[in-house]
Amino acid sequence: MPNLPRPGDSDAPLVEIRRLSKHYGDTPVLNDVSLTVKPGEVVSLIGPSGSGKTTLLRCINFLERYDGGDLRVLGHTVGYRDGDERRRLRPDREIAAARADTGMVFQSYNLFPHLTVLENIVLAPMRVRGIRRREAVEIARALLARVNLADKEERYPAALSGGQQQRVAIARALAMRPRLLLMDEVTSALDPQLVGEVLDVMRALAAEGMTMILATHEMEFARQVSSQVVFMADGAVVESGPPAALFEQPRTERLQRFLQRYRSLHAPQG
Amino acid sequence: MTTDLLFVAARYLLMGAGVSLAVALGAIAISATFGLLLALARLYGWWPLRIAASLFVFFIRGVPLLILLISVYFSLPYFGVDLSALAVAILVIGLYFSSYTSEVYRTGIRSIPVLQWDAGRSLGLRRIAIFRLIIAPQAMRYCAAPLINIFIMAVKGTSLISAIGAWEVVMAGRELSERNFAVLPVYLAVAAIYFIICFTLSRLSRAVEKSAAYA
Repeated sequence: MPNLPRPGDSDAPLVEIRRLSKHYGDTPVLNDVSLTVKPGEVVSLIGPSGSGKTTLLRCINFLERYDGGDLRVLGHTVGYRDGDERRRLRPDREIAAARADTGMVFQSYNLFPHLTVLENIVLAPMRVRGIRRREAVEIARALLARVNLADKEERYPAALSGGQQQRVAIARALAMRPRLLLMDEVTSALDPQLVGEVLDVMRALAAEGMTMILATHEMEFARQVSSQVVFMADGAVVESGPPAALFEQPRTERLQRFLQRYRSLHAPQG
Repeated sequence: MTTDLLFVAARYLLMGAGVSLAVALGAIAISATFGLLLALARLYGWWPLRIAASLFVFFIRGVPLLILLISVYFSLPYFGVDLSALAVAILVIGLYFSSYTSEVYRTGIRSIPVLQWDAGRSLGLRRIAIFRLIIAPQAMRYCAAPLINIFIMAVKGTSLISAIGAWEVVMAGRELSERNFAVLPVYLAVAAIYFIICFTLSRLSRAVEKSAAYA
């Protein structure tokens, strides 16, 4: 399986989004979104529900099409042919190859319920990368150990807690050795006491230099791990910058109100 | 009836039952495979194919099996096609129940959440691989029991094919009863034969349901 050619300059952006737009009929869902992500960066997308965070992540993986603007991952236009005035879709083979290099973890885990934990993880490396089973199993076991689920490889997803399922989903994405990891509100569906175990895994990934874009409602976590925080509302980027600046000195009224609401909802009890 | 005659009659009925079973198995094989093709055409096919498959299902389901058997069997010669009654029986019953199995496959496939497709896509799997490795195995879990239900109907459908002159268990039973005037015992025996075949199938259905549960 040929990987996409890598940019020679290691500091070249991994993701380059310029003036991206998308609409459903007359309703804009992404409006003039620009974002650059360099290797090793952790970018957190915050904002109210329906602000376009999930749609933006899905566009980066081309699970959804976009209408205007430019979206490049590893130097290649996502979904459409490079340097083509009239947008023409890439063949399925190329789209799939690009997705193989970009991991995605979903809010609802989306594990394959008919496969054991181990089979969930080895499926794509074997089918997409052509890795032999023995090697794929080795990789999978190492990843399961990393997410503290070494003893669960023969279980089916239904037998696991939400936090465990989400950690398997992260291991499944990592097994493809992605250059970029997209995480779509991965803790939003979890019981509060299970959130921590997933965040710990993500924190470790960030520390190892994995490039990540996360849509999240975990403000404290975003502040700790992000190199860049992007506040979105109504499909547009309202404010972005380093976490300290964004959380301590929000410039826009919109973000100020958002943070206030968040703090009042999450204030320590008593 | 003497014991001798009973023995001969039983053998005669069992021979007929063999033919019925063969027709049923052939029809089941056709309805299992062609029904899947119809479902795939309706779900993912190029639009003319989609419409053709929908029309096929729509028309065939609106006609009683007996009428379909007779009209196909007696109209084929006009198209220069010469098929034996048994071949027509297998084909017509198979196609007839394909229209039912296709609906089962279709709903089974559609019951799998789109998010499963997304998960497969995000891992770099291509469409056909996602269908084969992720969607189909899950859909089959939903389909197994209703499919076997339809196969049971197909088995019972074979009891109509004497209408086009096919010799099978019902025809054998009629011949026996006309010769011996023992209508009730003969048809009870025929009923028992059908019951045994269908009962076996329904037991199979239960076994499949059990084994398909994710532990």
